[in-house]
Parts: sequence; structure tokens; C-alpha cells
Amino acid sequence: MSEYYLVDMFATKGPEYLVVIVFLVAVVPFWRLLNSRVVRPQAVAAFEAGRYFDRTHTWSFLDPDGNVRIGIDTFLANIMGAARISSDHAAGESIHRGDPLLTIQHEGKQIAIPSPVNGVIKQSKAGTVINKQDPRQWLVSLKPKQWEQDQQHLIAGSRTTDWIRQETARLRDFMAFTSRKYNYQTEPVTLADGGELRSGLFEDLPEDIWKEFQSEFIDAVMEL
Amino acid sequence: MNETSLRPTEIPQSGSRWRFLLNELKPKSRFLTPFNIISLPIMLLGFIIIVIRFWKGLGSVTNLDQMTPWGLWIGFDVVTGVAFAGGAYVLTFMVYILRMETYRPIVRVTVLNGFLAYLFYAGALLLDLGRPWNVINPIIGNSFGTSSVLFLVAWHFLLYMLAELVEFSPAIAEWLNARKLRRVLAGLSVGAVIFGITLSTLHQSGLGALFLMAKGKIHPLWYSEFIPVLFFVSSIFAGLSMVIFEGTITNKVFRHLLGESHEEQHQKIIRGLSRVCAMAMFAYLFLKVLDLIHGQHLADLFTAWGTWYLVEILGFVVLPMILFIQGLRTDNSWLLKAGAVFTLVGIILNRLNISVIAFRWDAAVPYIPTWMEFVVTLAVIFTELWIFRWIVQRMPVLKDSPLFAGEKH
Repeated sequence: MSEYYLVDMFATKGPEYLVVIVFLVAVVPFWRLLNSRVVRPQAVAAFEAGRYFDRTHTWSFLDPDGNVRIGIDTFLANIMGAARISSDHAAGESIHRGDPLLTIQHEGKQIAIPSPVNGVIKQSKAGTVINKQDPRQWLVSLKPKQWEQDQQHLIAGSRTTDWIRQETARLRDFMAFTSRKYNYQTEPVTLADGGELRSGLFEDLPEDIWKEFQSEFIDAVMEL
Repeated sequence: MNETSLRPTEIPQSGSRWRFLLNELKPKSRFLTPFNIISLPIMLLGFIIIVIRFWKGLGSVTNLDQMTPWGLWIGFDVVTGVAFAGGAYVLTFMVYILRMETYRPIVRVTVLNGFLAYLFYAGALLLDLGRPWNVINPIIGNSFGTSSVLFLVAWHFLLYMLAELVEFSPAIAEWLNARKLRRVLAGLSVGAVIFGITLSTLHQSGLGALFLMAKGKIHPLWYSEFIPVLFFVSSIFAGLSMVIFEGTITNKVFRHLLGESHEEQHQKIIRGLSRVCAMAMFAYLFLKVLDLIHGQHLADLFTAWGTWYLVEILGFVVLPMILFIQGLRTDNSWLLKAGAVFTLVGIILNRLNISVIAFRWDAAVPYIPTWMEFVVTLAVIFTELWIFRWIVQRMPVLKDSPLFAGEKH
């Protein structure tokens, strides 16, 4: 027997096979990495920590200059989809907690969102499209009159998670009830697992359900 | 923009159509803009150089010779430009075949870009042919040359340009208010899309196959029997990066034509396209490693050419891929846009490396393009941008289709 080679990697194209195997093994983790949970930048995380949520789905953030910025939370932003949001209050105008502050509109349908705090309007932005990717999108800045008392009504910190979970369940019940009431066929993907909200859920819903949402989902919690 | 110009829905049915067309020829925006001030002199100078090129021959304006017959015009305008135009076939595949409706709003503008890119790059090809009138031979049969890859490339270019014209034609019919014609053309669209995708996959790789004949001329790190596959895979992320880049610019320049919800859609589209880019780059990277190992060229990496090769791979494939991944994970659109720009630079490097820089890498006197070659290249790009702007400002490319079209484009 002449020379005996145990392995000739290049003759057997062993390295090429190994590269292909590594590629196939790496594809799934790579895809998971691409779709992995968004890591929030530090600035956003700090912002999230200082936000106070109202049961009508607005957030308030006290700026270092003493003014409070107000926007809608991602729960509401997500279900409203490509709707427009605006505030037509002029600077200097006084506003009380519970007064209509923001208006969400989509194809003639609209919802009024009440103010979470008492104060004097410093600045309000012109109408814009809801950007659910930007949790810091704010619409109104106001000088609070009684921030300490208003804070008592707002939700912050770890309580937010439980509250959002309850709101998701409440929305599911709301959808089930109103869909029957108005004989509206919702898509099966809507709230299938009781947790995920279909993005832009309200875009296609009829005006009757928007009105019902105003009275039963938004206004109802103001009385609590 | 001149708001008094006639909108498509306002065009009278007969009689004044010529008046409408004449009216449409007038500028729709301010003439003395920074873009116009920069581009016009370059286009004029480019035109003069092209006249000289056809009058006195290639040698009068280029550094091309019998040993280096292909230069910047082929390397950048044709080989790189076609890769950049790859966004059209990827996007039409995603929208019309996979029914990914999220991307529908940018299909028309991407197809227009693809069509103009092919039109101008095929035009630029004529500049580089010693006897440009012979370009028609593979089409009319005066020596088809079926054994040449160029036969495939020539026919594919011609057919693909026609397919893209058909894909875009409903927009022209909407602009002219030609309702019946629009119905007919819209019916042809899906067929044209499928035909176009088939052609694209073949000629993207066909352009790479052209270089299979130059084994002894291209540096071993860039020459590979897998060039056709590498060209095809890289055209996916090249085309989509161009869509991201162009979309970002279009978003700023033509903001007045876009709908209210466009910004939100745009962000979503950028994220989706970046994900596809990252995935295609991941596959491309493995193919490059496989090619390197298969060709047993690892030792070449430790030479000056190897350093240059690593700059291309690490700086303009690995880095943009990481930017895409990080941009997606942190939801940072600036990282995604930076990833797209790095990718585009990487594609330019790769294509120029294969066709110009590492082509005849061992020549005693290397080919360096003349300033006139650069001017003509810029002139071709600017002319394309002028035509693109003219169409976008008039036809329903970014703005909504007229009501009679009955669907969103």
C-alpha cells in the first residue's frame, strides 16, 4: 500500500462543506437577531421612566423647565394606526383636567382625548400623523397649575404594566361587545391571543364604534 | 411647484391635448436651484465631450486602448448602474408576487428609477463601443453571436427595458387621462412584472458572467467562477439600498407631492427593506468566504491587494450589515440610512474592482480614467435625474392616481 492520507481537506472540499454547514446553522439565529426586541436607547429609557400615564391613554412628562409635555401612549397610537392627531388650543389658554385636549381623526371619524392635568397651554403642535414608532411624540406643552394633585390620578412605574394588561382585556371586551352590537365583522387576527393589538385596528372601524369608544372607553374612565 | 398646471383629471378629452402637453413642458419649479446650477454646466460640458468622442474617437477623450478596452463608462455606468437598478425587480417581486402591500407605495417610483437607469446605462454603453452602430446586430440577426454572453445581455437589456416601460405605462396613461388605454396597460402589468423578474435574475448574473472570460486579467481575489451568483445576490442589497437612499432624498425633495401618512409608511418601508438587505448581505458574505476558501486564495489576503480586498469586504459589506442590524434593533433610521450609503459605496467599489481597478492589475501602465470620462459619467447621472424630476412632478408617481384609476398605486 502506497502513501495513506487520512484526510485531505481540500481534495474532499471539506472546508467548503464546513462553511455551508456554518451558514445553514447561523441563518436562524441571524434572522432572530434581526427581529429581536428593540433595545431602547438610554435617552428613551430615561424618558420612559419619568412618564406618567392617564387612564385616558395620554402620557405626561415634567420637563426640567417646569412645563409638562403631553402625548398619547403607544397603546392608543398602535390601535389608531395612520390617524391624524391635533390640538387646537392656543398658547395662554387655561385648561382643566378632563377638558378635551387632543383630537384624533381618520376619514371623518374622530375621538376627543381629555387633558390629564390642569394648566396653561404654552405650545400646541399643528396636526400630524400619529407616529407609534416614536414614544416621545408630543402634542401639547403646558404650565401645570397643580402638578402634585394631578399626579395622584396618574399611573407610573411598575403599575403601568398591570394597567396596560387590564386595558388590553378591556379593549378585547369592548371589541367583542361593539362588534355584536353594530354587526361588524372583525378580522380573526384582532386580539386573537388577548394580548397583541392589531396595528391600525381603528382605521377601518365604522363611525359608530368610534363614538362608542369615546363614551365607553375614554370618557367612562374619567369618572373613576 | 406651479399649482395652476393642469391636473390629469382636468385634461379635456379632446382638442386641447396638445396644449396640455405644451403646458407640461414648462418648468414646474424654480429654475435657479443649487442642483440646477451645479448640474447644468456639467451636462453641457459632458455633451461637448460626447460630441468630440463620436467625432474623433474614443482615444481622444479617454485613456482606453487596445489592452484596456473597458473603462469607467462600462465599469460605473453599466456594471454598477445595473446593480443599483436591481431594486425594481426585487420590489416588484415582493409586491406583485409575495403580495407585501406595505411596499406598494414605492413600486411606481422604483420601477421608474429602474427604467431610467437601464435607459441611460444602455445609452452610456454606446459611448464605450468602438463601433456603436453595431449594437443592433444581436437584435436584427446580422450575426446574432449566440455563443456570447453579450448576446444574452443585449436581449435582456432590450426586453427588460420594454417590460419596465409596460410596468410604468399605467402612470403615463393616467397622466394623459387615457382611461381605456390605462385599463389595457394595467392588464399587462402583472405579465410584464413576471417577465421582468425572470429577465433581471438572469442578466444581473449575466453581467457577472461577462467577466468569466477574463480569468487571466482579473486579480485572483476578485476573479471567481461564482461571479454570476455573487453579482445576482449583491444586486439584491445594492438595489434595495438604492431604494432606501433615493426614498430618503425623494421624501425631502418631493415632500409637497406626498400624502400625510407617507412619513410613517416610509419608516416602515425602510425597516423592511433594511431587513432584506441584511439577510442578503449575510448570504453574500458566506458566499465570499466560500469563494475565498474554494479558490485557495487565503495567502493573497496578506498582500497589498489583500488589504484592499479586506477594505471592500469588512468596510463595505460587514460594516453596513452591522449598521442594518443595529438600526433595526434600536429602531434608529439614521443607522439604516448610513448602512444603505455604505452598501452603495461598497457596490461601487466591488464592481469597479472587478471591471477597472483589479482588471489588468498587473499591467505596467495601469488605466486611470481621464477627467473627461468622469465628467461624462456625471453628465449621464444628472441627465437621468433631470428626466426623473420632470416625470415625478407631472405623472402620478409619488402623488395619488386620479380617481378613475380606481386603485392606489
